[in-house]
Amino acid sequence: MNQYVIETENLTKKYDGPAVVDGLNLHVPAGKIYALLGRNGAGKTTTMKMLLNLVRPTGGRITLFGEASAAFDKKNYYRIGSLIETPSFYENLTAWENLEILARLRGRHRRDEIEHALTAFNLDREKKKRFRDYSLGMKQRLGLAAAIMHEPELLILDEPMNGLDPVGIHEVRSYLLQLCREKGTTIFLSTHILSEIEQLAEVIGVMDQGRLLEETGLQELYRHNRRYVEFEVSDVRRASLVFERLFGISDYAVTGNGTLRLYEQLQRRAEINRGLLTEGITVSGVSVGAGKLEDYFTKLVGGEGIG
Amino acid sequence: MADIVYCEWKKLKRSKIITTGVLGSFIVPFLVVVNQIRISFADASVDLSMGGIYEDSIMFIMLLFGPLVMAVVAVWLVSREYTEKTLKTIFAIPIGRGRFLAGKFIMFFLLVLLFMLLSWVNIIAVSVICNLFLEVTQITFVSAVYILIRMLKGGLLLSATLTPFIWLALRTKGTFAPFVVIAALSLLNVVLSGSPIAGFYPWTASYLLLTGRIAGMGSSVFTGTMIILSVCLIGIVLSIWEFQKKDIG
Repeated sequence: MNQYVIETENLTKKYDGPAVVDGLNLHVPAGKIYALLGRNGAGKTTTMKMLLNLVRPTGGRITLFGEASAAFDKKNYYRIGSLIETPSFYENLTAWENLEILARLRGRHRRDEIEHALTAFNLDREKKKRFRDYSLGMKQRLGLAAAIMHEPELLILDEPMNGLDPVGIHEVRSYLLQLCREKGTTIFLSTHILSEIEQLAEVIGVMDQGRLLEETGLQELYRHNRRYVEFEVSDVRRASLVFERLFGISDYAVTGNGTLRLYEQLQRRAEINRGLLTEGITVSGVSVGAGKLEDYFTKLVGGEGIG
Repeated sequence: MADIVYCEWKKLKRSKIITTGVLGSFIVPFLVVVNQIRISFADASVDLSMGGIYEDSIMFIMLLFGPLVMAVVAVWLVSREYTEKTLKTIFAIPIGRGRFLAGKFIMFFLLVLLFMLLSWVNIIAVSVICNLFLEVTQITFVSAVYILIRMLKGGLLLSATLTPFIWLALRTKGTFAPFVVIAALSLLNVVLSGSPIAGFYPWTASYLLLTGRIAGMGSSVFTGTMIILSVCLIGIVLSIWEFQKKDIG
């Protein structure tokens, strides 16, 4: 079996202006949760639409389940569940009727599956309510129920936590983790909630202006997100020598004019502080902190943060 | 395909436009019978007959009310998928675009037939009710069956001439432009219905073909049939072409 459930090669989509998706090379491993990050307009939704054959690529290649998309058997799309942008259903129909339509069109009309999907997202008591009368959060949960109803092997979810309250977010997160862990479902999602990434994703792709800037594992992300002690000193060069020679510290970084961040031996900060003072280096501040994911992504996309 | 048609039918549940269409099917026979009563009161030599009610009803249905109402229904069947943004949900399943369109055309065709069937029921009903108070001739089983066949044939012709509105809805993704065209088409129907080119104008030709008057208008059954068939095919082909090239969402 192929290692990747989704693979793209130079995937490109152009409309009239510049490319919305520009030479994208994605690798979504089987049985993992992959989060695609990016600001608004980064090209995440267009990428997902191309994967689902809703939007036709202007260039590049898509491989799903190890099969090239051009020769991709439509029936294999039944192995995918998806939620793209805001959930859209027929306003005049109830939740049950909407799911029934999808199930029939899929050629797999099973009442127990519809019931299970609605129960999984706490909509079983609201199944006779019309979609137009649903709240934003309920609509989102119905969208998720529709995506998982047929027990797909791959879930493509565009901002799955949109409109959910904190309890709803926790429930959905737990459900997705359970799906991935117990059934081996591959989940490819886009999000701009950075805290969600830490709690959900195992692999992360960062997109900006249609391009994939980075594709990395969670461990790598933790490296960017670890704790540190920051020293504000009068002489950065001499302080570096103290770190290395007196304390044997090699994992540190000069982060600004007069500041150094120490990523190891954090518990020895008082001792290190004394060592700096003994060497005649003035220490004007010592603080403990953690690298923010947001800083990391802001640095990566070179802008104002993930929007 | 049966599942697709079933789903199209299911989508109409609780739709106001369908309820309005059903209620609308009462309007023409009702107004026609009111007018017939008025005429028979004004001129005692004029008989009130079910045949007369049918003749006037079919004229208004085929030339004015039917195209107007059913074109709106055709546009709505497609445009609602855009306004409710349901295409991305449906096509991600996935279903083929051709199958989806086929479902729309079949449902539209069935709705036109349903509209004609309801209109027929109403023609019979107003005739029978009217007969309770005034004398209405030609109320026989044979007449009723004859009118039913004519109404269903009218439904076929009407649905054939309205397929371009499916294309128009796909093209514009909305309702405003198609509604303007529908209004213009209905006006032209009224203006051209008695003119020498009525037999060549598809939406009046269908009425003339149904009532057997097309030869008297300088055209022929063959020409009229070919014109209507061409319009039908153009509507279907353009719709398929338009839809295949479009990205969803």
